[in-house]
This record gives sequence, C-alpha cells and structure tokens, in this order.
Amino acid sequence: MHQGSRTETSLLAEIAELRTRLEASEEVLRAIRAGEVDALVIESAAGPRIYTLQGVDAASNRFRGEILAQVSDAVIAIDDDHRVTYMNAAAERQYDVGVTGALGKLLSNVYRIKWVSPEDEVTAAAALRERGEWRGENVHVRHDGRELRVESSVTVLRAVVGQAAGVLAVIRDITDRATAHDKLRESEALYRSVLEASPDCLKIIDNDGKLEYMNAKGCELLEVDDFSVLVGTDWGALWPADNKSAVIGALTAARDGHSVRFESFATTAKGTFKWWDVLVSPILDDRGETLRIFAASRDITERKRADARLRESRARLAHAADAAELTYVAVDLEEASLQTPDNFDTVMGYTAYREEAIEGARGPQLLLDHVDIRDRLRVAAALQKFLSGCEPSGKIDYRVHGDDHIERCIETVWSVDYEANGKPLRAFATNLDISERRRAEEKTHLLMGEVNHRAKNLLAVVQAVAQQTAKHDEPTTFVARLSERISGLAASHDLLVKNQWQGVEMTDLVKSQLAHFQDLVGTRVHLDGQSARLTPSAAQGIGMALHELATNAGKYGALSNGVGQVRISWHIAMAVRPMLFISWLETAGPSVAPPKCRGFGQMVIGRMVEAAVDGTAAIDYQESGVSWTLSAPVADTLEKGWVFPSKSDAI
Amino acid sequence: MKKSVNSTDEFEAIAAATTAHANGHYILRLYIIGTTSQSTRAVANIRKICEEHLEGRYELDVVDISQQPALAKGEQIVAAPTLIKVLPLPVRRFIGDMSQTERILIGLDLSKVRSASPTVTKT
Repeated sequence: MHQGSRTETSLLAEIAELRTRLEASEEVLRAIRAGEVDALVIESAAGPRIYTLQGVDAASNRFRGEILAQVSDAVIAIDDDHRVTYMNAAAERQYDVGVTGALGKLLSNVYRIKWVSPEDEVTAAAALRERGEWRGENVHVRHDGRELRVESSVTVLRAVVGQAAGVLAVIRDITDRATAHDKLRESEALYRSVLEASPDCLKIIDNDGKLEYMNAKGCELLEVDDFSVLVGTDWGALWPADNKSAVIGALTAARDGHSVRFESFATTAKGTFKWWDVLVSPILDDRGETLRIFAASRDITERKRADARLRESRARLAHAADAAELTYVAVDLEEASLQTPDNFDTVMGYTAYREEAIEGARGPQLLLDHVDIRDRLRVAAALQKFLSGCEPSGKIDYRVHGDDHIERCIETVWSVDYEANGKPLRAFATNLDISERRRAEEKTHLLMGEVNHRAKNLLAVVQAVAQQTAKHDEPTTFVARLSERISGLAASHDLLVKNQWQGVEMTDLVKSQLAHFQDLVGTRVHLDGQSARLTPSAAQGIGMALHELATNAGKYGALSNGVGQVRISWHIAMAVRPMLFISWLETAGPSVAPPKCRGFGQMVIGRMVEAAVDGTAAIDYQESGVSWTLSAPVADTLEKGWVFPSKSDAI
Repeated sequence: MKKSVNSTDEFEAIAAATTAHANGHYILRLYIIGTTSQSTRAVANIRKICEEHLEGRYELDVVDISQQPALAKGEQIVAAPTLIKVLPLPVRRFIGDMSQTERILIGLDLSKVRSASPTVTKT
C-alpha cells in the first residue's frame, strides 16, 4: 500500500514535470510561430550554441548592425515612445552609458536636447514630418551635465507597412570643432572691430596689389562712398605718378616679408589733397610666406601744414633773432632733441651743435664750459630745469667767455609747453646778448655815484667860495663876485655834464672860462696846447683858476685895455713821471704891481688848484704882465686811458 | 519540486528572495541576441512594462548572450529573447519579444484579470 502510494506520488510529479516542459515547449513554439524569437540556444559541452532563425534579411540586418557598431559617430535608434532601441559603441562612449542599461529606456536618460534656438526645434520636427529626415546642430546634455555640441543627421525609420517606427540618429560630437570655430569667429570679430575702431585708413591688399578690404574710417578719409567699387582695384593706381615708385617699392618689400614706411601725398576720391604716412607690412602664414599685405595710412595733412607753418615761423624768428642779436635753443621733449639756429654761434661766441639728441647731448656741457666759473653752478641748475621741463618758465643771466676771448653777458629766458595731462612737450629758450645793456647799466650806476659825489664836492666848493668871497670882498661887490665865480664853476660843470663826467678837453675848458672874451680868441687871446682830457676834479680846480685869472685880466690886466694880450699854453712833458704844464702869460697890459693883500682869487689860483691836481702853482706879478704857471702829474690830472697824441694833434 | 538548502549562499539567496518578495520587489533578467530586431523590441517592451507597472521596485538585467554566452550557461535558455522572473518566486520564464503585454502581466502576477491558461512556464 505504502509502496503503491509512493509510486502514485512519483507518477504525479513526473506528469507535472512533463506538463511544465510541454508548456515550455509550447511557449517556445508559440513564440517561434509568432516570429518573436531570434535564435535558439542549445547547450553543448563547449557551452551554449546559438542558432539564429531569421533568413537573408535578418543576416543583412545583422551585417548592417555590425557596421553601425563600428561607425565612429554615435548611432542611436529610438521607437515612437522615444525609447532607445539601438545604441552603438561610439554612442556608449559619447554619452558615457552602457548599451544594456540604456536599451528600452527613454532617450532622456541618455541625453537631453538643448536647442540653440526655439525655432530649430520647430524646424527639425517639421523636416522629420515632411521629409523624413533632418540635419542640423544642437546641444546634447549628458546625464552628468556635460554639454556636447553635436551635428545630428536624423532619419525616420519606416516599418514594412510604411508606418513610422521611430528614428535613427547619427550624431557627431563637434564640441572641439565648434569651440574652435567660436573662438575663431570671436577672434575675427575682435580683429574686425579693432580694424573698424582705428582712426587710420586700414587696407588688406592681395599679393598682386589689389585692394580686398578697407575699414569704414578709411573710406571716410578717402571720401569713398562705396568700397565695393574699389575692390580689386590696383592700390598703386590710386597714387600720383610721382609717388607710385614708393608705393610699388613698399608692396614689393612686403611681398618679400619686409615692412616699409613712407610719406606721400595723394588726392581722395573727391579730389581733396592729403598727405599720408603709410606703413606697409606683410601678413605671413605659418611658413613665413606672405599671404596678404596690410597697409595703414594715417592722414598727416594737418601735421604737414603745421610743419610748414613752423618752418616759416622759424625762418621769421631767425630773421628777427639775427636783427636783435637774439638766439634760441629749442627742445623737443617728445622726440628728445635739441636744436639751435645758425646765429647761436655769433650771439654766444662759440660753435654749438645744430641738432642732437637730449640723451648724451654735448651742447649743455659745451655751454657750461664757456660760462664764467662764477656763474656755472647757477647755469647748471637752470639747464637741468630747462631740459627736463620741470618748471614752466625761468630767467637767468650769466657771463660767457667766447672762443673769441670776448666776455658776453647773456640773458636766457625759457618757457615750457605742456600737454593737458602735465607732460612737458617742448621747451624754448631765448639767449639775448645784454652785454651793452649791462655796460650801460654799470656806467649809469657809476655816473650816479659820481654825480652824487661831485654834487657834494661842488656844494662844498660853492660854500667855500661864498665864505671866502664874503671874507675878502666888500659887501657891495659880494653878490657880483660870488655870482661870477659860481658862473665859472657852472661853466666847468656844464662841460663835465656834456661829457658825461668822462673828463673835459683842456681847450674846451679854457674856452669856457674865457667865454666873455671869445671874440678876442685868436687876436688878443691865444691858446696853444695839445689835446689833453682833464679829470672832473682837475677840470673843476683848473677851471676856477682860469676863471679868476680871466676875471683879473679883464678888470686890471692885459684884457682891461685895448691892446693887451693873453697867451694860455699847455703841454705834457714825458718823463718817468709825465707832467702837465699850464701857463697863463699877459703882455702889453697896464703896468702891474703885486697886490698889497692876498684875496680869495689868489687862494683859488694857488692853494685850491694845487690841491685839486696835486700840483704846484706859481704867480709872478711882473710889470709887463701877470705870469701864472701850474705843473701837475698827468696821473692826477688827466683821464685814465689818455693816449698821448702826436704832435699834429696839437692846437 | 522542493529543493534542499545546500550552502550558505543559497540560504542567503532564499532569505533575500523572501525579503524581496515581502517588499514586492522584482528581479528580472532578459537574455537577448545582440541588436536583432526581436531582441531590441523585447528590451523596449519589457522596460515599458516595468516602468508602467513596477516603477521603483524592479531590477532588470539585459544579458547579450551573443557577447557573453557564459552567462546563459545553466539557465536552461532555449530561445532568445527570454525573460526570467528571478524574484519573486516562483521563477517564471517568458519567450519572445514581450509584445504580448497582457500575457506578461499575468505571468508576473501584475494583472487583476487572470487568464485561465497563462502562457508562462514555471520552474
């Protein structure tokens, strides 16, 4: 019973097992019949062996699949529900996903599409709907957030019956290319903006010299309304025939890889005359070959005009400077150069450098070498200020010893021009020879002192004359005598003033003191003597003595009658100590007797004149006439620098 | 047919399976042959079914036996595509491109309407 029961249980289990296997076999069979099975798998000693069930089409599809698997671009297929149905190895790498994990999942698990512009999405959808394909660029955002710039070619997959069964996309990662392109585009935009921002006329010229590009400012400067009419024009043809060789030479040099700069004039499209500063340079490729030629032309018309005006101005200044004994030093602090005109040498007395650079300039040291040592420190300090432009203006006078051994007094006045930002641009210094003015000033100064001194002396003399006249003359004759004597003083004084206190010629002094007897000069009054210039002090003393002698002769002596004569003579005796001798000799006058008492007149012709000339006076009252002599050292009597005249100069 | 527990690993597997079953968690394994049309369809179909009916409580392993034939050894795979419901127990097998959604749902015990004869096999 028990054994029979176990047999029954075993049988039931076997039946169930068989049923399960049958159901499994039926399920496999059903699936095969339904075409849902690709392959059968048979276990073998070597492992499972796979037998595919499809025919030629399946083999072909598999072949295509193997090809797609080896394509370097990502290939992804999705069904109508946007589920991934295929992904090749390149797609796995590109999106960093495994195919087994991605298959059957929504495409959004692999990447998210970011359209460059919303219109692109609409355009793509329309293209797929209408043409069954779309090609374009967009951005794929991977699951890790990394963005890829991609170029996609998308095709609608059709089922056998012609209905859409999903899409296939071949996707190329162009991130690097697009980034490089973007950078290139940005770079090109930057360069173009730089070209357009330039205030100069910038051109790109091909190697045949034909214009390819010109910036907007260039068109404006050349007064070209539409550059397109100039594209392909020979650049050299735009220049005047006289200047064409410079242009052609520059183009040739640029083709050979060299840059050339030149200045030339040309007329614009509307005939305006302009000067241009042109730089022509090659645009080289990686191998150093000239690809294109770049030309930058700057309108320098205004500068040229300013240069011309400056040249004219300098010429006028040079003329004026020559006339005024004025010279100058021009310093261009921007170009760091020094310039002196031709008349600099004449005014300053030494040969200067016409033009030189400030750096290492020898001109300043040359000036200091010629400046008087007493002024050198001051001049050096002023030079430093002038050349650096650190002070807007200044003035200094100093002595210069020229190569001609003449000392000149120079007055330098300088000023500096500055830019708005305070940077010094130019410094200009005028050098004026003020030697004459300085000498005149010194002379005036001396004269003022002399006048002051003489005035005091004169007042002292007048005071003494007045006192002595009052002492020796009667009150009734005092006024007349004092007046006469002061007139005599005034005559000598007039001569001194006339000669600017530079001494009085002996002849002039005698004539002035004998003014009352001028009609007798040559008949009864005889003058005989050589040229001799008396000092102011000697002229005053000798003049008063002559005045007293003439007054006495007119009242009591040779000139008091109608026949008497007076001979005034003087000469210089050359000796170890040269002496001046003056004599007054009266003849044919009334009989003379020595005076009974000594009056002021005798004091004047005696002690006073002796004191004035440091000499010796003698008076002799002979009956035939008065004789008066005076001897005095030339050194105390005559002006310094007095030159002994020849005999022929004697009167 | 009742199996005896022969090793610690098997014990752990049964324990895990019991826990997974208690949580309603599914472990599925789909065996396919490369990128053939039925295989790719099967992948897409079973993913769709899982996401719609087992969201957050399933694991699906896709095994390409043309690339990794060793993984099919011992699993009694006779055709491809084949889906094996490893957990929850009992183990069940489905053959084909998984396009018959209702049959799959019944086999996975996910359909309220049970067919009189589900076209699934028990292991």
